[in-house]
Amino acid sequence: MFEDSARLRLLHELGCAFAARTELEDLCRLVISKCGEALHAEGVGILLLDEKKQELYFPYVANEDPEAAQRLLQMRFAATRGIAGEVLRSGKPIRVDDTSTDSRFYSGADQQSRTTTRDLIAAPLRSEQGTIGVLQAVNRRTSASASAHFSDDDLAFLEALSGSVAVAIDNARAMEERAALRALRREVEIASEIQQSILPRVFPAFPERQDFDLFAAMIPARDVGGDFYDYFLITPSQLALVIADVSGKGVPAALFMAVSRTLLRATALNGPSPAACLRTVNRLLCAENSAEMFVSLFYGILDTDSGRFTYSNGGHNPPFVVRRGAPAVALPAKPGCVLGAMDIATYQDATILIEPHDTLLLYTDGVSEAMNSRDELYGEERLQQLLGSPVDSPRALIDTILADVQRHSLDTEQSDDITLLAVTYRGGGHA
Amino acid sequence: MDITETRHGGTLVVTLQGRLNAASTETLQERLLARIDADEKLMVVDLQGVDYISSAGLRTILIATKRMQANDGRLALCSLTDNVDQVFRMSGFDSIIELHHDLATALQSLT
Repeated sequence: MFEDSARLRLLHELGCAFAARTELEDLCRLVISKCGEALHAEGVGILLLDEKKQELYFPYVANEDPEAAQRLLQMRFAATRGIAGEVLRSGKPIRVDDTSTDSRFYSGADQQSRTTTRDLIAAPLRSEQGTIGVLQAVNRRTSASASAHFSDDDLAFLEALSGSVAVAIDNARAMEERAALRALRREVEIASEIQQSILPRVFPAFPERQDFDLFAAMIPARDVGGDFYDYFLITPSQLALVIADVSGKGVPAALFMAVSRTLLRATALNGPSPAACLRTVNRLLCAENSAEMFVSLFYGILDTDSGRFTYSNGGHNPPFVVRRGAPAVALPAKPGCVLGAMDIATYQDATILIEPHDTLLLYTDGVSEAMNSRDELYGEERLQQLLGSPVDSPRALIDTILADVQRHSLDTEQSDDITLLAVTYRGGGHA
Repeated sequence: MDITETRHGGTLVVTLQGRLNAASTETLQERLLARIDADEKLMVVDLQGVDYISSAGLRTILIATKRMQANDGRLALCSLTDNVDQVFRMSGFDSIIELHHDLATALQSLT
């Protein structure tokens, strides 16, 4: 009777600790020490399964002999071994009154920890994911009562406790996973911030210029790719246009993108031809690229006086030129290699004459490869068709394209960054 | 992604079947690099059964090619499907990776 009320009190005490969401460490320590008292056991331990290695280890141990406890904490053994292994396998509690006559008993654990296990009870830690470990008590103190070993009541008590412990461990693990996920999520957010903050996004970009009009947009995917666009004036009559897509996703892609953009801008401002610029940037990117990342990059210079557009393509989707009353055409030229892949890659310049009211559209494959729920791509043909209608302004054109892509991939999560840069040449020289 | 290996004289032919995307490329990369590190000097990757390659797939091919070159070996690809061929041409990878129309031509070129 006395025993029963002590155990009830213990269960109540532990119930309160569980309810108070005590830290798992403290909770497990409380469980094993109280359990040892209530069961008159010399030692109590929680064994957990290391799923990867298929080993059992003791994260929590209470033992009369503190040195033995220390040795147990260091120990690991195959998950199939011993009584614990059997409990893990069968998911059923086991009581062993005399280990010397039980063939399932694994004496190796005793040898390693330099302890002697006479009798033991063990109960499975059952969670929703199956049996995740074992709660066991060893060596009932003979001085405690007439009985030399644990009773079925003791085993039932241990089993009752093991249920609560398993739930607590499960909850703690779920919380750890959530925290890890949150950290990862935060990293991706940082990547997204890097990517967004580096892009120029004040429009109109050149309010004083009547001879061209420009608009750009980048809609990052949830996992953040490494798209970027850029535009700047090299001289008052040379407008640089850049669009690029870094391989890979997340923080590495965002960093590589930041480096690529900076190198390109710094090189371009010295005034080399687009092909010469890509050659230089490619060599610089290859020199320090242990991660083997690469970037597809299109770079062109629009001469705003003459309408000559000189460009070089490093493995990127060819941009479209939209002429009034004519179907849109992709800019001809065999692409050179993506940048950052091979330092020996070569690049060529090509030139096309842009007439007043023509529009150049640069984009990334986030547009053409936007998927719908049936895994169908948006496609270059649909984009090209859309470009057949008259263009009011670069902003209107990009809004129209984004709306059409959105219509296509309704109900589907965007898997890649969607990036567009459009320039309408108006001609007439700059003021 | 199914990966099978056959030997044609001194050349190891690695035949792929499936989509070469971020998920499948890791296994392929491990396999190719293990073979190169085991001193395989001549290798052809047969892409006849691959109808899609992502930039992660291109990266694996690039990494294997560079490792092979550092080992004084040669890696070539052959039998690209239309989709894959387009990706190689668009990205300019066709200018830095050895490509062949079919396995016979690839083997002939390597030996």
